[in-house]
Amino acid sequence: MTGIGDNRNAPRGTPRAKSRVDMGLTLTATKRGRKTLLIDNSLNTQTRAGSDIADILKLSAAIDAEDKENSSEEAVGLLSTVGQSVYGFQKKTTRGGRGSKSMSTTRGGKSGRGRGGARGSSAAVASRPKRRMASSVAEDDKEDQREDDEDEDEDEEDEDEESDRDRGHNAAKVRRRDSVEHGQDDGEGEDDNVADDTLEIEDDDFGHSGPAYERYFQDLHTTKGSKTSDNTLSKLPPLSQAECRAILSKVSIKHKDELELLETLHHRQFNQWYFELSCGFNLVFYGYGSKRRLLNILATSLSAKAPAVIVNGYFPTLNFKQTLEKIITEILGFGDTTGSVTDLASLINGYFESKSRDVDRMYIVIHNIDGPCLRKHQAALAVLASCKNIHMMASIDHIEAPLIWDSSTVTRFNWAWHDLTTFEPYTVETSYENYGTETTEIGPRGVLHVLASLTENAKNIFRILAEYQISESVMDGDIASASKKAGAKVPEMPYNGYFAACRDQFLVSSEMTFRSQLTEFRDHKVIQSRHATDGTEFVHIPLDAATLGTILESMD
Amino acid sequence: MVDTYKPVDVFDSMTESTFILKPPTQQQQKKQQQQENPSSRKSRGNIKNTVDTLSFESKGNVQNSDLTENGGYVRLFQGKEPIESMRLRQKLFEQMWTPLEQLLVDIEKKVNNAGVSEVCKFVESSYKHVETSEKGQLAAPFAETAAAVVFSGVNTGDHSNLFQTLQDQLVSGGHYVALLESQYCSSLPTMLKCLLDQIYECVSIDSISISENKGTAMLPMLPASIGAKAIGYDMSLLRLWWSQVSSRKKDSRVVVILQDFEGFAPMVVDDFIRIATNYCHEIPIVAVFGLATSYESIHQSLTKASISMLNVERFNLQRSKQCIDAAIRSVFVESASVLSFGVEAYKSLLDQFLLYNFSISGFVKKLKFAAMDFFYAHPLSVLSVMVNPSKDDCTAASASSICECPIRLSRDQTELIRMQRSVQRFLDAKVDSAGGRRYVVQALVDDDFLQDTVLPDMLRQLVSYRQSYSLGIAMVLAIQEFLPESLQKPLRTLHYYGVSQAFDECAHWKTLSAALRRMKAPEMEKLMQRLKDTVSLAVAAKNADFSFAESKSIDIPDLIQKAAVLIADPDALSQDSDDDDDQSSKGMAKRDPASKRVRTRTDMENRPFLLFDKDSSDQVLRALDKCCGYIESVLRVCLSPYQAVPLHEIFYYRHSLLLDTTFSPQPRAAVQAALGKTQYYINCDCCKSASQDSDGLGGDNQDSGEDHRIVPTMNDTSIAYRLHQECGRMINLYDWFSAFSSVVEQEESFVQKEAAQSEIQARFLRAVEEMRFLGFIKSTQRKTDHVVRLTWGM
Repeated sequence: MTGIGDNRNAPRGTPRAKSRVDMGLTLTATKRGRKTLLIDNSLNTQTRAGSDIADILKLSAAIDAEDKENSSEEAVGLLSTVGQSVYGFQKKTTRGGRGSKSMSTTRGGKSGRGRGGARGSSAAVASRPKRRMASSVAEDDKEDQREDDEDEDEDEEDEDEESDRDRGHNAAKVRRRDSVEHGQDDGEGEDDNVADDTLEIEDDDFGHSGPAYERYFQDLHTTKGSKTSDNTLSKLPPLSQAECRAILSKVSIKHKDELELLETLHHRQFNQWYFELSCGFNLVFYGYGSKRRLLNILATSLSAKAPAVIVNGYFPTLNFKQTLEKIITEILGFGDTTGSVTDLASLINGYFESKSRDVDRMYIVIHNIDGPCLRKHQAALAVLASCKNIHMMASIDHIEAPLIWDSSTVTRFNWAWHDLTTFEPYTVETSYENYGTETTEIGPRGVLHVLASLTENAKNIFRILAEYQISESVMDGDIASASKKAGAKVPEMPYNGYFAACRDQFLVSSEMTFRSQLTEFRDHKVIQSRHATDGTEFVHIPLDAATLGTILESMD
Repeated sequence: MVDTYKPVDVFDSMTESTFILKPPTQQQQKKQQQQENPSSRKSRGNIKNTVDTLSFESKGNVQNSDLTENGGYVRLFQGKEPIESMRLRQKLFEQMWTPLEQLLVDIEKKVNNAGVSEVCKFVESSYKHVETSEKGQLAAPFAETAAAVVFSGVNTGDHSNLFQTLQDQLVSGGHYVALLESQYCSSLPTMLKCLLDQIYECVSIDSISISENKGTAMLPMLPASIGAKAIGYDMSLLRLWWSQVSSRKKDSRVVVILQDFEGFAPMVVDDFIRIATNYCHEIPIVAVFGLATSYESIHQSLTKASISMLNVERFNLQRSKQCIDAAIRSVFVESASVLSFGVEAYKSLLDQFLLYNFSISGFVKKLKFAAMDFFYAHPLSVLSVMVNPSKDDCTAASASSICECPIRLSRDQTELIRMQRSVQRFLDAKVDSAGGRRYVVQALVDDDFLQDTVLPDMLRQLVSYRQSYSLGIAMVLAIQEFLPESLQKPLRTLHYYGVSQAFDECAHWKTLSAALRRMKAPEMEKLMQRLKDTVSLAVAAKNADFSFAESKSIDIPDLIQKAAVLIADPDALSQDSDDDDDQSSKGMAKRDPASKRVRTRTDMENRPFLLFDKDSSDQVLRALDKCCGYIESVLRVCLSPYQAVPLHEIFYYRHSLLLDTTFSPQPRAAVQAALGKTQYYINCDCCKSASQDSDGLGGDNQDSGEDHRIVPTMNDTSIAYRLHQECGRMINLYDWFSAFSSVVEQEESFVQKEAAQSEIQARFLRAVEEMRFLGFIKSTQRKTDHVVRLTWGM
């Protein structure tokens, strides 16, 4: 990224304040031409002379003397204005050409929101001499002044477009004046480009709010070169999961010989791993490739002497409590398996710590300890692993997997890490996932399937949203079908309105039931929700009105 | 759904996630043997579907021998190592580690002891005023629960040890202690249940004996209590119980330790404090909060109301630095273990501690792993049997402290010894001495001679070096006592200087010698006394053997003694100055009584007091100078680098890389390397890039000038990975697919026949699925058929 790109969005507060400052200057110019002139002059002298605070003080004295009839408040405001801008100029001069350019760039990013106007006027203004400009701006600025007083708070989204353009217009002029004063005409064109860019960022709203500097990293990669084509996978023939498996089973393995060698090398370490286990370490294996087969072999050979448990952590509906219960009933031989996961884990731990026990030791192999269903059970797993008679071997595959452990958990686990790169395909681990990419959407048939299994109430909840969407899209079609863009979204219903509608029809009694109902829909991808920039939630069914109509019909 | 998914093996199922393999019971074993004999098939385990469908036996190269045999030890030298040698290694590891571990535990306990006993004192002194005020005075109008806030440092992993020590000490003081962890106390009822369970347990132990049964006291819960509902566990029950107990024991308190205060839900602690305060007139409850962060966290999590109910006192138990110093002193400097650490490994050990989490357990873990690696994988680790640090074992073996090796070394082992560079250097040095040539020749040819004569010689030198090193460090520490605090270095750093280079090259050496030269006579006298004590202590402690130093023609005790005498009586110098100034006082100024007192610039800088110190005569000054020279020369010899010692390759552990990969791994880098630089793992010829083929051009540039070409012989996922690296944040799946297929289509199998579109598609989908599984990409809803890239850079 270039320097310009880097800080185009970053210092949002400063340029804003500065443009206000500049506007303040021109404002006073409209009221009291002479005074502005004075200030302008003094500013110029100051910037040239390098200036100090004393000048400002002198200046303020002069101002005070000049308009004694004015309220002192205004004078103070003016003074502070002058002070700020002096500071700004000083900064510019010290930073030199480059620095000032980047500053004006940032301002461009801000002020360029009314883009056409800004560009046009700045071009026009550029040809005028600076002294005359100040007065010629005066007419515009009179209107500005009122607005400026009104929206002192920084909320720009609410301003109407007209004032936006004025503001941009104005700021652009001021900017031009600055650069004329400093003899820096370059970078103007860039400024405008940047301004356009900024506008685009604001246009394609990703549903995130906040000041620009907070979105810096987000925008870093979105704005640049992320123009991906609109091709979709629908161009390819559909391929079912079974077909995929059938095809893949026939595909020859690449690097067969090398991988066999790799595996023998891994096999040679089995003894060492056993030694490490017996010394009280637990093993965790990482690296690319399915480690499942090797670990199963290891577990099987270890199970000759002591019971071994194999847990498939990648299993999408793994119930860790059931796993623990199974261990307790089948290995420990206890009948009573009530209690929470933590209780059960400490029960097992307690059993293997105690002196009188039938089972000497136990091996646990966990494939994908970072699996989705095990992520929240790491503390319980750590309790198991911390027992010196329970030996744990786990594999991780997700590249950020170590983040699931905090420092005390990691101490309990007492891991010794081993690289077990096998290059084996994750056939089993990924077999539960949907091949292809239709995971995010659900066809009308899917929706019908889901609805068929739901209660009447839930169906009606769905119906409300569907009807709303149909009616909205009909309205849209009537009014503004022309303005419809390519990526126009299906109409969305605000969450609160949806809830109110459902409650009015006695479909839900509380928000809680409503939300749980919604969650169910969301899990089945029937309903999707989205948070708008201001935080309100919108829900919609990702289907068009026609499809919804057919669904509603077939529901009856 | 028409899904005919067939499980890959018995441990794969669409409905079951947990499989249990049980070892065959004896009866079953017999049965199986009977069954197996005719069919001669092996079967392990007794799960429903027999396991022998497993394919692992098809791998011919897998030795099916029992892993558990010999505790996992294997014979080295490709299995040619004698079995006794392997057994010896196994035994030696046990012999070495068990006491060492105990030693480390003791050290930790000892270091923590002071702080712990402070807390104990606080517990005892709490509520004293309540007890005394009962006699006729009015009770205070407010109730406060006594609370100790214990700052225990960021090394949360070690806290269970620390608080265990605290608990043990409190229990032995006759108090009733509950040690609570946040993971068991998610709500107030469970917390109270935990608390009462442990308190009751204290009683049951109490009734038997305190020292017994500590093992079960550690358990957070008794197995029997699990499953019982937390009904009836409340404070009134505790009050009832207390009313019975307190009659027996007057001074005991009920101590509730919240080990990880930050982990508790604030509401739970809040409620608990309110309840406890309500009862504190009847039950003397003392709360102990373990804090890893700062006092702020109490203010942040608790309400003002409940903080005001606490009578807080703070304690600082962050002593992991002292602890590590003590551990390094006893393990490395005083060589409690045979195995010491070389520079790289020691640095890795120290870095892990200082830069990561101040964790003692992490330190111990690495130490243990290094010892394991040493005895498991180093064929010469058997030699450590000859160097026996535990004195009682080899009292018979005389002052040399070298024992007989119980086994004869094999040919491989002796060869390996001869191959060590330090051994070669040792022999080279021998050549010139009288009869040296025969000695060397015999050492090179005769295995028995090597084992019986040369090895003990070398080991003796090693042991002697270590003793003098330990003395050297002790002396440096003694000198440091006379330095201002800011100039003192902790032991761990001193040892690092000691192993990393010659000590007189390190920065600290300058500080030390400058400080020495700045000393005045009385100070120097004190220092000499101190050093004398140190030396005599070292001599007395172990039958000291300074032959290493002697080999450099320096007799440490004698030298120190001489210096001490000298400074005590500087006038004596004039008499025997002629005898010994040839030794170490080269740097001394010319003996010219008439010369000016301040002779050089260095004097000016270092000893400005000479200008106006009228008391010290020239004689004294010269004596001072001489003493400094003595001390420096002693230190220089004692703290010479270990690389000069024979067999240091064996006894100074070097595999820092192993330690790093085992304890600070980089799983993401491993996966990325496997996908992006596959050759590192499988070293195949087919994926070699063009730049590597043209070796002649720039041999060294191979690594830097990586070829980013994507060849079809690469793994599918690897191809997909490399392609995705070229993308931005959003990746269009279809475009990705087209790129993928354009690469894959070059495959030989596809060149002849028309590219099977569906096969490529299936392989692509698998690759994408794996990428998603690994966490490189995730699906998104922003645009149809797009995924988001999640990793950047290499």
